[in-house]
Amino acid sequence: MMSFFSENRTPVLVVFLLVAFLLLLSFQVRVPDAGVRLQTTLLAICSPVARGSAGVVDGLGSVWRNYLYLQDLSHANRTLQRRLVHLQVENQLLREADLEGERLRGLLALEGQVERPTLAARVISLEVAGPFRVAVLNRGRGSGIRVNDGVITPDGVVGRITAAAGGMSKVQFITDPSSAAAAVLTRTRVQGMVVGRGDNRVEMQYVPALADVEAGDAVTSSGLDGIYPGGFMVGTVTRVDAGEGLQKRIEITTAVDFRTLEEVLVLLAGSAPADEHGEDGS
Amino acid sequence: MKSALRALAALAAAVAATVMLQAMASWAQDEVDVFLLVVVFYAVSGGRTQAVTMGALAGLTQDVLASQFLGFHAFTKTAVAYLVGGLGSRLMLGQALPQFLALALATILDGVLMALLASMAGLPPHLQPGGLLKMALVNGFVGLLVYGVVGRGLPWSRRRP
Repeated sequence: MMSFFSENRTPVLVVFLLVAFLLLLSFQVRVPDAGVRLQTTLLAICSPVARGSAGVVDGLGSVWRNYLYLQDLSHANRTLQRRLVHLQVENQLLREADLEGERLRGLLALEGQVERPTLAARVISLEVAGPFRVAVLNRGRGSGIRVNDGVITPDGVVGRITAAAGGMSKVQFITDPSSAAAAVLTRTRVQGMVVGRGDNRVEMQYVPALADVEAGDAVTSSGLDGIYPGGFMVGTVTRVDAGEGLQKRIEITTAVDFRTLEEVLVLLAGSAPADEHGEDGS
Repeated sequence: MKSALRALAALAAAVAATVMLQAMASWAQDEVDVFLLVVVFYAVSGGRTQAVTMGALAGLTQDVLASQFLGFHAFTKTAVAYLVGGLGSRLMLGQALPQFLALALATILDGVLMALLASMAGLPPHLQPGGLLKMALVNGFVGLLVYGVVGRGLPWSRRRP
């Protein structure tokens, strides 16, 4: 028996690991709370490296900008051709900084509109290609973020927090196949449930077949789920089909472009954040 | 001990690379699977057991960053590490072309396994053959570049038979 295991150590290990991972998946479905705790623990382990890397990227960006500035000063007499190249690069960086400023101004304006306390956070990892639609934020439980806090941008609803470690948290987008949010068609006030499809669109379910719905109708959060406040843009109806039974099948293109997500606002449901201005001052 | 530290360093580097890729070239994040590059690197350069262990750890780490449930990437990366490791013990993968093919094959395997697992879990289908092929090619090229830089001087020829 022992010789079998020592001779087939790797295949035995593979089978053990594969079965263990299948059991782990099944366990998380059966005991969601334990799954969240497990995710939070692992997120906390990855947090120093991920946050450190994000800090390094910020630092490199700053050094690079300073470098360009100093280069401009010390090489003021360079030929026009070379100066043009530098100015073009600098122009690109400034344009990027301007866009970032614009996004942050949008977030600040949005912060004023929301009654709940909010917290700005940066996306440090994004998954929009596989079967899941999730992102990791650079803020976590230490900043007051809790599981099930809503996440929005000036464009509309992003998703909800599914795991919050000390310095990082994970967001499930509304496009994730296991996501659902209460929503309303703004023109006719018909209520429904917006469910992720796993691609970059969502579907509105539980809308009666006789309801008045047209392509182009705006869909906003209704606030009934207690996660997202009412009135935030979810998306626009792009297709309406007769669904199965007594319900319509409604396809919605989300207002938020998840592929280009950089900063978000977390709607804090719990106590006020401990480090509202955080390490990066945002 | 030394190999465990090296594996941890590789995982930390993969996390850092993923975050940096997101910050500096977010368009590339869909195409480049940094964790897969690490797993294949281990599969073609180290022992099979080591590769499988790295596959499981890298997959779990990727699950933390990019999955709603723990275990999806861990499952696929473990299987890929075992299969590519098996390939590595039968074929010479020290040259650029075989490495490129191993990376492309690993990407396709990972994508197909992920799609199968997602379908078993009742998740909607997400696999697009064109996209997967593109990702396989991109991973192949990027992997060769990374291996060229990181693996310079690595003892490919000392790979365990």
